[in-house]
Amino acid sequence: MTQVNPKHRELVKAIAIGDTDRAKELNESIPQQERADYHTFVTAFFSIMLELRFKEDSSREAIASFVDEMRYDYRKADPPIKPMVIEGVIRASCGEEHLLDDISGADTLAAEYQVIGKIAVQSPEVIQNPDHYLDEAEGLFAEWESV
Amino acid sequence: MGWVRYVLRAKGTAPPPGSLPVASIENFIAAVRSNIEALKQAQTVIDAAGQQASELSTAFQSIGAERMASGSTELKQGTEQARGSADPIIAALEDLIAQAEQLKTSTGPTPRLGRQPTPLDAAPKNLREPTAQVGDQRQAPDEAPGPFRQELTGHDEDDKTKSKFRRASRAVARNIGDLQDQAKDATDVAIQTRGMVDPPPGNTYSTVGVSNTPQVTSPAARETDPSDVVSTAIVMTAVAAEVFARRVRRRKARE
Repeated sequence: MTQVNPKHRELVKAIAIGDTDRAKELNESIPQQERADYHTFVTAFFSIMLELRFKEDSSREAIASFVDEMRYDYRKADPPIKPMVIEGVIRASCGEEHLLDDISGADTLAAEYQVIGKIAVQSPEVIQNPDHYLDEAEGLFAEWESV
Repeated sequence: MGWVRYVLRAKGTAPPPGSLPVASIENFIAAVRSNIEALKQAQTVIDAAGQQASELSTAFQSIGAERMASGSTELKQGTEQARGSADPIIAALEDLIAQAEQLKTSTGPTPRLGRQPTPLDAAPKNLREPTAQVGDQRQAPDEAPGPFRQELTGHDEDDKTKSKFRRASRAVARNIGDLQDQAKDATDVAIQTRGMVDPPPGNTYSTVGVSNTPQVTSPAARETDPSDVVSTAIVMTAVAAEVFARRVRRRKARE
């Protein structure tokens, strides 16, 4: 079973709970050759966050209104968020994978981080017990790596 | 049709030696009935396989694996064909039963001078003809999942949404890759952006969800500090210049 690098886990945790100083420090310590694995783990955690938020309703309408909320949540973000890209990435994660054809890797990653930030900040269970969700993400990561 | 012969041989019962001819006919009919039963059971088993193939097809479709999905649909069609090929045999066996019934009534001591009317001739048509015909609507397998489907229960119901995200996000991970020289900066920008997230108090959005208001606005967003505009413009220009410079550098690096 493929293990997740503890530093990768720490970094995702720091970003999720909003410990930006710790996150910056950890980001400095991840070498380039580990980045692909790190991004895969970010995606696994992103997937677990989507599962939490869209458990009941993952319709296009639900996704669109979620992205509308993000326009407000990230109104101070600079560079600004890209709502259309975010919607595309979420829908791709619901099975419309062809939408990724028009979305760059960097935009995909940025969208994931922004979605993680929004869901975490509005989910007390994630802020209080991030390890539970990080464990889930590790499980998913191992599942992906094993196939 | 080797398997049919096998089923028939397995299910046929030999008449006890020395029994009366009529009793033998009964035995024959019973044997043929059990043949039909065996074939129908075989069809039910094939139906279960067909069910699995169509579930596979749905599963592949949901993850966008078109070729696998259409391949599974072909498997499903194959099981339908296999199942249908038993229909003419069942009909033929049912004909045999009807013939044997007639034989039974004509084995009496009546002299064979032409065909004598039999009680069966007086019976309504639906009793004289085989009850099942090729192409008849057949009863679907029981609602309770058979051994094949039992294996699959729980895979679908419980984690439909769960596995949907978990499966599809894998493609999202592939779309990112390692981002090469942008990787560290991308995460740095994300960390900075994370510090900017600022949902409304109580997570109540004043305009989200209201129709005919495509733009999300709020009192807070409308009160723009003029100095903000200037600093935003400066930062935006810096970012644009940086992005442009990187593109030029990358293009040069490629040449």
